[in-house]
Amino acid sequence: MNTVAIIRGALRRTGSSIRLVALLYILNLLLALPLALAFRDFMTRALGDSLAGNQLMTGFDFTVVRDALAKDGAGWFSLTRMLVWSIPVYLLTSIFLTGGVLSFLVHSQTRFSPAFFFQECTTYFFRFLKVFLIFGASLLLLALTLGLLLLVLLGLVTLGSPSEVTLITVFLLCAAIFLFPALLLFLAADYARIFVVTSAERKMWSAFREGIRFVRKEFFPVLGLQALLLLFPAVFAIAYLLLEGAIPMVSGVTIILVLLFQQAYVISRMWTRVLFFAAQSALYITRAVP
Amino acid sequence: MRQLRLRFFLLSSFLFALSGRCPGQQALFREPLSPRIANYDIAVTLDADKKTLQGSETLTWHNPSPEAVRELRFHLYLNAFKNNQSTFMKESRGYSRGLSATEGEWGGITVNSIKTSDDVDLTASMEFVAPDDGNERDQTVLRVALPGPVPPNGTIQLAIQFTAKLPKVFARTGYGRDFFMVAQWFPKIGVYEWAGQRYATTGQWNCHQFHSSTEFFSDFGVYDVAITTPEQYVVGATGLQIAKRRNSNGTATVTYHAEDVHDFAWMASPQFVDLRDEWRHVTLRVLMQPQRVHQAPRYFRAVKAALEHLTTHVGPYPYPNITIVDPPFGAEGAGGMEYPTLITAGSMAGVGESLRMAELVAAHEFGHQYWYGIVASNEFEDAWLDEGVNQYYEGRIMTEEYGLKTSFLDLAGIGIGDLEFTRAGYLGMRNPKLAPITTFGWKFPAGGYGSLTYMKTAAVLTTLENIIGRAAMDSVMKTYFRRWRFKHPCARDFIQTFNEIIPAIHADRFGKDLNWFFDQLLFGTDLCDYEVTSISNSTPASPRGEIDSSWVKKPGVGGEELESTVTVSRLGEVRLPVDLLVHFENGEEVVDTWDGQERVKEFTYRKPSRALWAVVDPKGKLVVDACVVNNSKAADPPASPVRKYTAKVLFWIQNILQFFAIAG
Repeated sequence: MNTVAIIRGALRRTGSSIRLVALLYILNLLLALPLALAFRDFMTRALGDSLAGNQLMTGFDFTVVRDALAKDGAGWFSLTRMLVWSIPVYLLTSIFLTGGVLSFLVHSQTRFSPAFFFQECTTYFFRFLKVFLIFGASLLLLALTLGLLLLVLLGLVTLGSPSEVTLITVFLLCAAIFLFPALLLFLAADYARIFVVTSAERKMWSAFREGIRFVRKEFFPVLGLQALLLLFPAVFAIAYLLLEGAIPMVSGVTIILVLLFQQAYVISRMWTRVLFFAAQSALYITRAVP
Repeated sequence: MRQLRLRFFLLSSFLFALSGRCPGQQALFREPLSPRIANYDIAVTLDADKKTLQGSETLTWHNPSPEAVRELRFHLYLNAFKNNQSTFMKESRGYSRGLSATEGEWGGITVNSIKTSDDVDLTASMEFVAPDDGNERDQTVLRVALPGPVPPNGTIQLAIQFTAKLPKVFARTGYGRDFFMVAQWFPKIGVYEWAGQRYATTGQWNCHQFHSSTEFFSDFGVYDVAITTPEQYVVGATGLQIAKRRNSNGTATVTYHAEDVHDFAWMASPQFVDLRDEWRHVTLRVLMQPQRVHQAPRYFRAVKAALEHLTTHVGPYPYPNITIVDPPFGAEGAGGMEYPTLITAGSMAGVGESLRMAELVAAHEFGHQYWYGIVASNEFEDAWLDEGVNQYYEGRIMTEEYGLKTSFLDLAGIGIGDLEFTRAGYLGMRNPKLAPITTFGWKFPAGGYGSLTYMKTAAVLTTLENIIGRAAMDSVMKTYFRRWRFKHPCARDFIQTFNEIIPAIHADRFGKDLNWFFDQLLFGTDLCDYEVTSISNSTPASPRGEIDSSWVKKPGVGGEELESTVTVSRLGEVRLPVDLLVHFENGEEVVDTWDGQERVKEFTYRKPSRALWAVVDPKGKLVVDACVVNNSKAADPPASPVRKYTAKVLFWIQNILQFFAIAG
């Protein structure tokens, strides 16, 4: 089965997983909403009954923003701390949900059942957490070896450089050299998870090794699939930016309209995530050595 | 005979000094623009490998005072970088303007000999003094006792041999690889002040040590400087190049001549690309790194805008040229500095015009040609008079050329104006009440110098301009410039100019003088903050009880009136006149002026409709006001801003969380 066929299949599969996408979106919204509401409270306190907020309707106003932040500095600090702590919570939530998503896609369930979904999430949570930790450790090892080496090289090459152009160019090259193996590790972790679900593997080191083996063996199909899949979020992002740029949020109606577009974009990101899992699962299932 | 020779010498030297001419050198100006007190003829050779200078200096110093002067004092600024015991290094802990000294890469200057023109050797009479802090290890001020006094209006000529070692640049002067920024590099005589001049109560040398938060002060004169460097080096310097000669040993000597300047700086590098442009009578020369040549138009535009603005609003730029140096990568410590007819800016390849740091720095440093270069206030004692006044003009120039809200940053819908940035620099201090603006430079508590002398001063002057009007402000500054160019004014002279001109323009509208303003904002430390505290609307109570017949409404008067009360408060200690704008539901608007004195003031209105919102300082005149958010209040506050930004923030949080979820 070629890459295009895999993507077509994945699109069909994702198209029939509306309830799954909806659930993922709702969970994302539920996690983000408390922070947004906390921000609303902060902004209400900072602006009070002032008309200064009107300056912000037509665009960014540095003076108003600066003074509002200075007026309620403690509130702003609390808000940023909340955001920072939300990140690991969402990360763990995402690891939790991945099990249910992959199980639904891999086992080709025709009917989405929230109860079964969450049961599968629980089943795979600790295994996927281990995969994540192995991926993290591998990335750290890569950073400490290749990353440090590249930094030393960067320093040596730019030591006598008369211009920052050399520094910037070499830095970008080094970043690209580092990011490529990092990307392969990232993909290996994805396929490790798929392997765990397809073969009920319980040893995560073995699963990660399988992920690396698969990525190495199916190097071009894996990268080709990833590149093609990335077109989808790119198209959605461009479409959103064009729409948002065309509608200024200056009135109640336009605020609601743009809010709807924003949430549509967020839903597209959930949809894209399911699409990626569906396509990767299909690739693995068709190409993996039995 | 010796006396006769000395008198002849003194007379001819005096005439020579006034003419300011080298033998054979055509004068730049028909008449001297300045008193030409300190005149230098210097020959210097740069050893690019050893980073050293060998210098031979002839100083002709004219005593401008009515007193006999028995000693001379010199600045040896480079000795600030000699070791970690200097006052500069102790105060700065090795950091200056965000950069740090490189251990082992020290600098310094040694006066090898100093002789009078009749060969009297004064070398043995040299001693270092520390008039500011008594630091015996600081060698930035040299005292030289004279065998005989220099009489009032007399002249003395000295031959000085010196060697200097340039530090790795981190604080304005030094080298970075093969780039040399040579500033404050020669023994520079201080300024002799007599009683009544500036803050002097007796005759004295004004020759401060080099501190971490001070700059420079010296007298005007004529400079003739011959600079010898490796021949592949491009040289830029104060003044005009009048000669260039290739030497047989692989070096080249470039001679520069500058008249009516009070300092001389130069730079050399083999890498520079030399670009030129013209503005009226002024030649602009930009020395750029090859990789950044595409950024040169930004410098030209900014400096031309500064020339145009200052010529129009302050006075003419008298010199025929200006050189702008773009320091290379690794020598950023040399950037953002001003010297007579030479400035250093700073750009970076890849940083586009959205971030206007290159323009801002160029406009600011050019502005120093006026405030410091021509009006030569004492940068040690009155740093605000050059930095703050110049920062104020920087805001005007940048706003006029690049826009009120976009002159500093204009990127992806986010705009920040130069003046906004300046105001934030003052009000964003951890303690904006740290010290008065007028504090002597080295006496500022840590963290206060930059924010107060630059930012607060600019905010104060902008506020003053808004209060008295641009035309009046220009009238004052034009008078101040005309009166004090090529001289050394102090705070008193600046304020006096305002107190003379403003009553002449505005009568007693702002009182008999503006001391009430300057006392609070220049000499004081308090904050300004006005607030609309409340708006209330009510129906006035119908009269009950014993009613006088004259209280009955006259026929023809409108229907039931509402009574609206707007309460404004002065939260800060600074009292400034301020406007109050009240908007009523029927569209009517009323503007009242309040003298800003009381702590709380109520304004009551009887109108057919209720007051919807009120704004104190509606035109934003009081740039020093600490908080614009509390300047207004609405009876029915708008909900849209909060809704809009809550929606945006929700969206971005959702995306941020989803970004991190990819890893999971």
